[in-house]
Amino acid sequence: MDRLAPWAFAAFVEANTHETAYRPPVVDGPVGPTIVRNGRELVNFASISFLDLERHVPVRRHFAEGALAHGLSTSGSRMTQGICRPHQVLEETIARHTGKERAISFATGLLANIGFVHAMSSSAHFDSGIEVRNRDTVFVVDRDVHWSIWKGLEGLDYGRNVHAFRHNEVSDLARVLDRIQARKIVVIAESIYSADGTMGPIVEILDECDRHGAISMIDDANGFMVYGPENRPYAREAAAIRERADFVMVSLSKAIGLEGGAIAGPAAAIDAFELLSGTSMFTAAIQPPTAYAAERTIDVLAGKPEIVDDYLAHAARLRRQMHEIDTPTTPTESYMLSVPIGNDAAALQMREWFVEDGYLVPVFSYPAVARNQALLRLFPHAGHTEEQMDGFLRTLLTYRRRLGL
Amino acid sequence: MVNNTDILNALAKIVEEVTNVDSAEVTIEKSFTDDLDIDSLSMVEITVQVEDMFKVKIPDDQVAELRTVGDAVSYIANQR
Repeated sequence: MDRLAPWAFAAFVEANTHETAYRPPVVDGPVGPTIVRNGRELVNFASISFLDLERHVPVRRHFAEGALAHGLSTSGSRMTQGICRPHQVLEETIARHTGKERAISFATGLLANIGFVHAMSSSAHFDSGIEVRNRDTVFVVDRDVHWSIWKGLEGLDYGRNVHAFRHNEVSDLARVLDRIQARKIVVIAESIYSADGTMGPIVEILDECDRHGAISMIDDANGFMVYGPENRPYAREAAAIRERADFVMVSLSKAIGLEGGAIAGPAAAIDAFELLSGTSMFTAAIQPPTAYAAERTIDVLAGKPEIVDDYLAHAARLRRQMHEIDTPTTPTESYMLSVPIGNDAAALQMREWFVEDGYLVPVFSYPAVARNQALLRLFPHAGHTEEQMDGFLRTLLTYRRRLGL
Repeated sequence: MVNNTDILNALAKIVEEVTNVDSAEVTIEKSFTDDLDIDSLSMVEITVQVEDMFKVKIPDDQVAELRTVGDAVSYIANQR
């Protein structure tokens, strides 16, 4: 007898029509502007690590140095053993670059977000009489915030302790805040949203937080070390995140090209998060050599702004070229390119054709987005050659014509 | 004594508060999803407010059964 039958996993997998969805293809070698999947090389528009950093920073050498000096594992909780030097230096570096008093790192960005929500809404009591009682916290979040935030909010009471406002609509946020009567309100929004590449109306969101006395947390996973300088888009939003947001979440797997995440904010809160987040204390940390290499990479990105400047120009060029061939993209100035396709079947057909022709292009279709609002979501890669970009544009144009789009 | 019209008016006010849909649009024949374009997240918020206001309990599986505004009004009236 199959004791797993009540879970219906087999039927679930069988019902899936996309054969690769549950058994991911096997990738050999490093992922970069190209990727070798199941033995085939594809031009890669799916990598969330997009700066081709090895050209500028000897990341792998830094990693090896970190491994030799600090070992491969923290070998336990920072609360019992102490915090590894590379983590301490990394956290100070993140605090400095985000303009916050302190930062705490987590093994992944997802754990940082779940830990933040948990820390802001938990109650704890210790024998010494020390206690926090924050179960009465009310969260107000953009509907399109990352799954990790929603996962963190899952056990809370939606409609009472959790409310959502329409994606990027400040007037809806204001409406929700107007009707909430609570002493502890936390508003969560993202800078650049992964699904559509848009930048949230950060300044206006922070204005509403000020107006209603709410605490703000901006998930800057996609913007960290990309936006900020005046010559780049979204300098105003980046300045507001730095100067006005109470908390900011950063990811080390996007611009930094490694793995891990952190929450930065006021010192007392971050110190409390050591215990209250749960996802710091009860799980593994970033590996020490990764923490070491991340800190070195952040410093290089800050010291050599041309790395990101050149990348953003490269991404803007691809966007412009798409518009020149009458291919609409979601209106945003970010480096992410979302190309609305609409029909789910057409989008899935396109994905297959792209792979056949040597391109890896992520397709978001139902249920990732609403039915028949499928889109291509591309990350231009700093290592793409002009030939690869031109080839991709020609191929996309051919498909659009073939499908009558 | 609260009658169905009172329930409808109060429900319409809640729907407007949660979704910004004009309360005048909230009439008994309207479908929450098809006519008023209210999604599942907003339905949860509406349900919570209805429960608080009318001191009733609407289980999750029951919410899915309340297709129209009229369904919801009848359900609330019967629970009271």
